[in-house]
Amino acid sequence: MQQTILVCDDEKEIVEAISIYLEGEGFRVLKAYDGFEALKLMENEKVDLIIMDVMMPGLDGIHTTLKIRETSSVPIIILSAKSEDTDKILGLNIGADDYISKPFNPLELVARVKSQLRRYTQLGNMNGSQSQAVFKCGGLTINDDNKEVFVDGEPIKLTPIEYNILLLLVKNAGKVFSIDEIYEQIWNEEAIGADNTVAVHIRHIREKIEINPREPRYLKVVWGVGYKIEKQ
Amino acid sequence: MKRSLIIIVHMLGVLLAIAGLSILYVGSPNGYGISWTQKESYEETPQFAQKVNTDIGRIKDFLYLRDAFEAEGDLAMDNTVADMEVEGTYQPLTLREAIASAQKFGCYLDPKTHDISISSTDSNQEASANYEVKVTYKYYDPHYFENVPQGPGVGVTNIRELSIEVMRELSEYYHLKERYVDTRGNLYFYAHYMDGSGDYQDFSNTDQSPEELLQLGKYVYVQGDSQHTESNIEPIPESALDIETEFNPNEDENEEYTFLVAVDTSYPYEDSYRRAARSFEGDVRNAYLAVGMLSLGLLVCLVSIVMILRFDGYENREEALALRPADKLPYEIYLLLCVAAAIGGCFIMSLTGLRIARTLSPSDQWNYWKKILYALVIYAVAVYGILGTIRRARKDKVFKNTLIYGFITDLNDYAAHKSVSGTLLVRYGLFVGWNLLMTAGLIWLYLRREAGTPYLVGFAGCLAALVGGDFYVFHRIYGEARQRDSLEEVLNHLSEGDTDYEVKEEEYSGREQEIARRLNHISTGMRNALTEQVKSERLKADLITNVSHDIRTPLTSIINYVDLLKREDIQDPKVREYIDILDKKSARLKNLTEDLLEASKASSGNIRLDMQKIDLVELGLQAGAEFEDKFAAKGLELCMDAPEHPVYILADGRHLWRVLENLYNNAAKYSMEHTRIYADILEQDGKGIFTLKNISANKLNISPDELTERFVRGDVSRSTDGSGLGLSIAKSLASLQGGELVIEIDGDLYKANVIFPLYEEPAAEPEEEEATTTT
Repeated sequence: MQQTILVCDDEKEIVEAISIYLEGEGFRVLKAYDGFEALKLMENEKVDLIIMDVMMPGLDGIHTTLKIRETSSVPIIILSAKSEDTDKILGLNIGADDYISKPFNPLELVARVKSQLRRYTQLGNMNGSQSQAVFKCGGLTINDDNKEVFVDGEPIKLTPIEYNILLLLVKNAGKVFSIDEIYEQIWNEEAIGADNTVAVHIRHIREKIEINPREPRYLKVVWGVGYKIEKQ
Repeated sequence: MKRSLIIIVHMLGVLLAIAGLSILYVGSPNGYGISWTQKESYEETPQFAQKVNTDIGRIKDFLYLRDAFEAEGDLAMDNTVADMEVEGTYQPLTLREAIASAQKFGCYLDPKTHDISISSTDSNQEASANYEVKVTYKYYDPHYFENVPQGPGVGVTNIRELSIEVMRELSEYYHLKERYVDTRGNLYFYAHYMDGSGDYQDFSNTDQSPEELLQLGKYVYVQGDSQHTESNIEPIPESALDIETEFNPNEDENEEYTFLVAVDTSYPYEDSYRRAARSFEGDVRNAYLAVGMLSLGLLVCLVSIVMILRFDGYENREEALALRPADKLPYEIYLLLCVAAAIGGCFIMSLTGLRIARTLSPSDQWNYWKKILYALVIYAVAVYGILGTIRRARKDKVFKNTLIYGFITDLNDYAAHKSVSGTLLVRYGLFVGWNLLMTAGLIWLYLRREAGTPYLVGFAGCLAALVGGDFYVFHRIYGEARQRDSLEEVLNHLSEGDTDYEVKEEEYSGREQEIARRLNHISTGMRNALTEQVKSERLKADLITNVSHDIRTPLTSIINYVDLLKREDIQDPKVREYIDILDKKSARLKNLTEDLLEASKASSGNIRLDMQKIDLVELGLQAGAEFEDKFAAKGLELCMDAPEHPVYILADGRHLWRVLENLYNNAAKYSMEHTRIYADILEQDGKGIFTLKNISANKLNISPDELTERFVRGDVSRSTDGSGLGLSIAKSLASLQGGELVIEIDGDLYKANVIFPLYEEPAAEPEEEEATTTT
């Protein structure tokens, strides 16, 4: 089934570029150039995901998102030239599901779109089959029975040590573990001196489970303190 | 030349001068001064005259003693040597009796040396020793009673004392005889005189006639029939003049008196005359040497003092005149202190230096040394005082730094500010006047306290008025002082930049109220200026933010379409190369806008900080792990050295990571390939220090300060990508968090130190983030 994505930006060239990438991935793309057009298209079409610019003439991205959220829970990715944390937080708070700053990497955009779509479609499916050995955290799922890790439904290959570290963090989501603590828990030995084995493993995990390891969604670095899985 | 060296030279000069002077005055056998050195020979000097003078006096004494003790070349034992009165009756004392008596009391004359020795008398002879006699005439000293004042007690002595005195004179007689008669010397004498019995005697130590003696050289010739003393000695010896008056030519019976003393100036015999004459030339040389020393000493003194005067007050020629602490004293006090120092110095000298001089020198030189030592002390103090005066003069401060000048200045000041001084004078006058009046009243009333109740009531009233008035004055002074204190506190607030501090005008009165009002004006003005500045800073930051936002939108399109172009199947290698360039440059432009934005925020402090307890070791490990691949790609090896225990600092983890990220990025970018990068973490002096060291691939001919400036990069050609803002951002971020970034360059060794204060456990700084966002 071909999924429909609504792209809304006042810059026609950007909408065009995004369309080319998405259509290349087999999506159907609807184009809108301001908030009102987007809302009108929403009424007439079935939309699976929205990519929305924040700064637009007429109705801006924030208000459009608020309007859409009144009736729909469709995934929305905010696209903005503002990269400040406060803007991200505001966007996510009003109901957006993800956030990409301009100028963006097209591949990252596509990856995020796919990730959101998988989450959205699988949310319903996963509800029934929850066993004790399954740990979930947002789009991250660990099935400890058969040692499988899924990010937004996509299976991820991890080494045993990486798996153990991720499991420890997911089990204690929200808690910050220092390098020494992780080392002691995983290797069952006392940590000696400055050794960045754990830190390297965690970077590898991040590279595997995150779309942009520099701005991780799940495995966050608490600089100078340790690592944690964000509780979602 | 150094000042202390000059002073030492000066002191040496003074010592040299004193040495010269001392040789001239106390070391010379030929008399004081240097006038004698001008004489052609010893015989012309005053010292020679003095010596002849002494000898004449002794010869005269010898003549008397000889009359008393000698008869025809032998001791006249039966001669009466003294007339006595014993219990009112006359009794002569013969020489024999005197010697016997002296021997009885243990007094003997040594037959060889003619010195007398007195042994202690035993007790039973004590009584007779004490028996009293009154001497009326001494034959051995006929003029004795002319020279002592007359009175009832004159001549009263006891027999022991008298006999011992005779023995002493006898000893003296022998000594003189030995010296002038028995020993052949260069001094000759001839005396023709009348002895006690009225007979003329001739006595001489030579066979030569008076005429012959006169030819020998120097002579003194006294004749009884002449008032004139003939002599070729200058000055004529005083003892010869004495002889002339003693044997008055007007008394007829002694007119034949002749006394002649002559010195053979060819000095055929060895005696003190000959020795003195021989040493005369050497003495003259010594005297010239002494004069030379004195002159050289004085010259050195003069030169050194001129040098001190020229340089005193200047540390060296170039520097400005420097005053000493003592130069700040008022001049009068300075002078008084100098006088006191001179007096005190002389006192101390009398206790020390003078005593030493007295033990080391004969008593006739004591007076000389006393003068010299005191003069030294006074000279030192005077030099010090004059130097001080000259230093003051150089600064034009001699008069300006006197108490009188200060007082005059004060008076002028009062006159110039009549409004202040006038008011103050009136107030002070009223206060003092009131006190005087009331005190006078109290005394007057107290003296009349007996007179009745009204006076007592008046006394009490007066006392109350006095106390009340004084209390009122105290209260006023206190009030003004308190207001000034609180105004000072207001000023402290203002100077610390607390512009929100408002003065409550109504709490003040009079002038202080006016000052308070103006202070409020100032603080409002400062507040406004500050807000303006903050506003303009924010505007600038906003401008940069907006511009970079506006750049981003078109940049997005460029990046996207370049990417799309790359996906097209283009065969022409030229076009592919162009697209590649576009791709790289657009990516660079993206980095640049991001860094520019961040730099703007970091340097304007427009950043939200979340200060936390951060473990530098953990952060170092995390950062190292993030860059492992980047380093490995260039063959760089990261070596980390950190303590076993955590090093906690207070910082914002995310921003501190940005600091380290920029440093690591630089290391990755600019390090020489296949070298090591060292990351050290240590605790030192309450600081946590993270150090990153690497070897630069390019030559670092740039200063560390320049490196942290915006848009400056290690490679001047700007070939590698990078905005040149990394270090600037890192530095701004570090200082925003209360730390610092210090770059050191040592040849190709590039060293970045991130220094943060250690985290203190109970440190409560919850408002940190709020405070930094407003700046």
